[in-house]
This record gives sequence, C-alpha cells and structure tokens, in this order.
Amino acid sequence: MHQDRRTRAPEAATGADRSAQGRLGNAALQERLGQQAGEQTASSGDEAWTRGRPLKVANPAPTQPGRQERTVLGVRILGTDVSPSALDACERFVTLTLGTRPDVQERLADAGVALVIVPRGRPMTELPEFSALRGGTTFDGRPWEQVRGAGGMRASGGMWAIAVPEENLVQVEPDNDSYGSGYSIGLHEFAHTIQSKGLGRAERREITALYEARRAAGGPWTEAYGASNDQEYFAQATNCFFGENGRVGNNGAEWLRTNDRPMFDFLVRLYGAPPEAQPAR
Amino acid sequence: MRRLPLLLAAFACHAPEPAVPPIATYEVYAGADLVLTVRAEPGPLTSTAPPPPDGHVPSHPFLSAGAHDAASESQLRAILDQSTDVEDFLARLTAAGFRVERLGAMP
Repeated sequence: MHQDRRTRAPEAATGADRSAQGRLGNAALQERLGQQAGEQTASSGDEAWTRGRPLKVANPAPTQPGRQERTVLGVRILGTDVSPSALDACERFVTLTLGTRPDVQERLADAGVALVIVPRGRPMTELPEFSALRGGTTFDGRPWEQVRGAGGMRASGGMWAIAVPEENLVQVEPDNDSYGSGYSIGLHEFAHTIQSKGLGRAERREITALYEARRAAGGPWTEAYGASNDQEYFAQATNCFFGENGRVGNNGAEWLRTNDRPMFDFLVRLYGAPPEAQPAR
Repeated sequence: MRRLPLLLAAFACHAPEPAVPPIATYEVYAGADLVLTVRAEPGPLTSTAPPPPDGHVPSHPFLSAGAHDAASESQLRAILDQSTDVEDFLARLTAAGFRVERLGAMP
C-alpha cells in the first residue's frame, strides 16, 4: 500500500503550482477519468476540472459483474456489481480532497480507509462491511436498513469502511437517488472521515474554533443542517466548496468565500484552490 | 415602596456580571477511534449517515452531539436514551468501556 501511495501521489511542488498539480493528479489519470465517464470535454481533461464538473457521472459505463477495487492516494475504493464509473466518481473526489496533502493521505491510509460502493437497489446492511448495522439505528434515530451511506465504521481486517450509494455516483434509470443530482453523499461522508481520521489534532481544533466563531456571529450557514455541529459544518462546507451542495443549501466556493471567509480559507489550505478558481492549464 | 426601584438599581449596579457558562465539549473514543463529540447544551443529534432527505434533525433536551462511527451509533443512542443528564450520560459511557476526554471550555 505504501508503494502504491507513493506512485499515485502528486509529486512535490510549491506555491500555486502545488494545489493545481495535486488536484489534477497526473495527465493519464485525468484522461482515463474523462474517457471512462463518457463525458465531453471542451478541449482537454484539465479544462473540465477547472469548471468544477459535477461528481455524478451522467453517462455511466454498464454494470460490471464481480468485485472491482483500486487504491487512490492511499484510499481503497471497492465495488461489487456496480458500474466502473461509480469508482471513477469516488476516485475524483478522493483526488480533489487529498491531492495537496500527503500528510492526510498518510493518516487515512494508516487508518485503513476504504470507500465501499453500495450497489443501487441493494440495502447497505446486506453488504458484509456494514452487516453489523442490521437491526440498529443511527444516532439520530433512523433504522440503518433505510439509510444509504455512512461516514465510516470498523469492518473486518481493520478496514475503516465508508458507505457510498451507487445511485448518487452515477445517473441511472429509474432514478432512485434520494438526493438527486448536485449533492454528493460520497463527498460529504468522506469529509467526515477526513476530519476524524485525516486531520491532526490542531486542525480538528481549528474546525471547532471556526464553528464556535460562526455560531457567535450568527451564521450565515450553508443551511440549517450545517449549523448542527462542527462535523456537519465542515462536511457541508466541503460540499459547498466543491459545488456539490445543490438542492440542499447554499452552493459553490464563491458563496463560501463571500459568506464564510474563515472556513473558505481553511478549505483552501486543506484542499487547494476551489475548482472555479483554477486557472486553465 | 418608592425606594424599591432605587434599591433594585443599586443592586444591579453592584451585582457581579452573570458569568456566561462555558459550553463543555467532550470527545468519546472506542479504543483509538473517535466515535462521538458531545456539547453540554441542548441541540441537534447527528449521525454519520447522510443528512436526512426530509431535512429533519432531532433535537435533544440536554445535549447536542455528533457521531463519528456508524458501528457505535445504535449503542450510543441507547445509552443516551437511558441518561438523565450530561454527567449521567458520560458516566454511563465510561461504564460501557468508552473513553471520555474533555476538550475544555469553549469560548
């Protein structure tokens, strides 16, 4: 895994180049993601990234029977009987969020973090990684059998498994995505794990302080849910930053920059410049 | 009676400012894994699951908390439902084998 992490991580760079290079990964990855997603790009894969292309794949590849697995920046992505495009979508938000921070990549890899894609139409609790949730409820009182997605739990082999529903990663018919296009569950859930397992204590405390300051200021928030606590504040701000908070709340890095500059600045330090601000290469 | 407003005003001038109660915040661990963050004030309860599609977030009468570990959520909620106040909740968590760490008063 360590060998893989080194080969997939962006090369060291400094200054403005670092965020762009980290976000873009390598050209081969860009090209492959663009092709597999079956999407049109104006003239190059890089330009598509600069426009903040939605994470949800509009024209996914057909479902591939059997197990698929890849490792990106130290994070495993697993799917069984799902479209390969669902793995592509996960690969995109992993690259977007971790590309500039080798230290976060290292912590997540050490924690055994894996994104497990829940096939559309199949209850999350039927998957072996999440079978321990059967019969239980979420902390806010929902039966796990009715939930599609989870921010992480210990599974076999020391894996920290994050559940991401396929129907939110790829556009399928009939559309049974409870959140619709424009809101990424995977990004939200992954942000929770970045906060709890990827950041050091100082940055976790900084998020708490940012949340307290925002409360003291009376907002504004991305939406009411983002005001719940520092975890949801950070996760929803992440979605907003990448333009993946559509149909849920305020959306887009520009909204965050204008209305919550301290969190915007923190996220720029963590993720690099937002997609909208990326200069075309 | 005429002196009462003056007395009240005098008391108000000399009474100490009521201290703003700090909001105690706790992190709860299962082994090395952070599983819950608790704030000792009434407020929302949140899960590691995605936001409820209907937008409804339950509120609790004596604490607010956010879960970090899906596998612990059901047990944590059951313990919370048995608890009478924050101190009781934290004591029950400790008795159940969780480690509770106070972050200190938040400004």
